[in-house]
Amino acid sequence: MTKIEQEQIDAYADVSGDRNPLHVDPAFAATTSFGTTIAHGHLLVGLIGRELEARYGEDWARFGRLDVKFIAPIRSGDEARVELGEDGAVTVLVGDRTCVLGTARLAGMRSELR
Amino acid sequence: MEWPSGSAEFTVTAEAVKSYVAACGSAWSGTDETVPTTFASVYCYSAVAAMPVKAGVVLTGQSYEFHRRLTVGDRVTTQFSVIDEFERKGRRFMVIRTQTADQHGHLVCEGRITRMLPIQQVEVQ
Repeated sequence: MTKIEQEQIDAYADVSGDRNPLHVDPAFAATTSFGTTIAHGHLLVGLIGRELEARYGEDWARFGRLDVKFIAPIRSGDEARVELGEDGAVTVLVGDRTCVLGTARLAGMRSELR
Repeated sequence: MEWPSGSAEFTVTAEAVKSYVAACGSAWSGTDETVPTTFASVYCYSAVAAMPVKAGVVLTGQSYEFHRRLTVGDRVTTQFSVIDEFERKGRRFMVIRTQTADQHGHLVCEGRITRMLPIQQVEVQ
């Protein structure tokens, strides 16, 4: 479980250069349908990536295939949880709400999470 | 509408990797010299940032195919191009393809980014 703090979002914006106000400007974000700032999708990919690197090691760097869709926002202050299924399913949830859905596998083989 | 394509270089520094790992809240399992695969989002963004759009663009999808582990000091070049534009439920989307190679010309990472564009007209410089 990772609590997504605004400081973490700001830190990602700093390193990536992605200063979309949806992420870093609470006043702007309050005017949108999200109501508040949301985490960068790529920040969530980073959370997923650390789990996959831990599972697959160096094979992930050479053969890793990741495909995700961002289907609901993760807002500043939400607690995100990454789940890796045995079939290669990748899910990021906030509580029981699915926010990211996708698949991970090593090229040329079925994903086998050990 | 004609979208730009092009390429951009990015040098992987220890500071950038350290900042990325900290931002992702992770205990990086690699060494100080090795780079997390998903650091691709940083060097790819530096390339596609050449396509300015109005505030409010939302990332709706990302895929990566990884081919090689980067290490600190590598210099990568990312080529990007818009490969698809479509509408769904009254919203406009674009798909950007990225291809990144290291300083030796070795393929490092291929990616596809799907963005939902703001309702307002997108500005292209």
